[in-house]
Amino acid sequence: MKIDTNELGIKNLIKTDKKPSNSKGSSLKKSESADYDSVSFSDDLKKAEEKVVDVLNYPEKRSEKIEQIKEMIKSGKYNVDVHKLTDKIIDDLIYGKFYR
Amino acid sequence: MRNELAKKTIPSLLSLLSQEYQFYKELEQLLIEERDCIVNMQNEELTNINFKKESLLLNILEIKNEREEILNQISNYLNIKKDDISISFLLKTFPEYEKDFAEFKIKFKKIGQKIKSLNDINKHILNSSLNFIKSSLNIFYQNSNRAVYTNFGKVRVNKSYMAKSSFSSKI
Repeated sequence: MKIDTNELGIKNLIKTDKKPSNSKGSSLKKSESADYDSVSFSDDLKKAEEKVVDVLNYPEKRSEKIEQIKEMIKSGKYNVDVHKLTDKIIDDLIYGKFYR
Repeated sequence: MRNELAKKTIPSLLSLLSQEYQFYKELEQLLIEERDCIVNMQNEELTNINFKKESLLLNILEIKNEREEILNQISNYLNIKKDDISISFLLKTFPEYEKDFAEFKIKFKKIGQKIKSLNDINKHILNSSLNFIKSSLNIFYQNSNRAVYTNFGKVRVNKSYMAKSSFSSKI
């Protein structure tokens, strides 16, 4: 399933260019460049958005993530709450709908 | 399409269930070893077992992910919700594999009960051990602060110790 980023409003978070509504009674003359409000965020945020969209659109990246986590565990750089995870897996095995 | 499911997809699913069951057997063995380590206070071995458990649990999660993909295919074909697919459902829908699914249903139920029982015992004895260590440390801490002997053989009573009573310490 493709995720429409416009629906999520992620694109809108990155850059907003809009014309201001014409306010009646405003007698100030504006220069052409002042006709637009412009908000732009840093490149880091854009990169973060790309990552989020990637993960949402491509579930196969989850297996890459699992491989990364496995490597981190082997090197001792990743901490998992083994007891909580064991509890969850056992609960699923006993109460999970699939095993009925 | 049904033939393709019955010939390829269902055997793949059965193979995954077999692997998953083997992982649960390994988990059962690790929990038995963990219990022995807690009882015999073999801390290094306990750490090793935790590493093995982490790796095993991730393998189980991976198998579950693969299973979900197969269940997606089955749900698309049968036009039902994926969450409605259970071993009992598959057993009825694919009678040619009835025996295999029936076996897995019993196996998973049994191993689930065994693992849960072992895990509960381990949690209980681990908590008891931790409480024992905490209370021992508390007693040691109280006694070690009772008095200090100076160079000249005089006893200097530790005032901070006097402020505490044995009832105020957490056991």
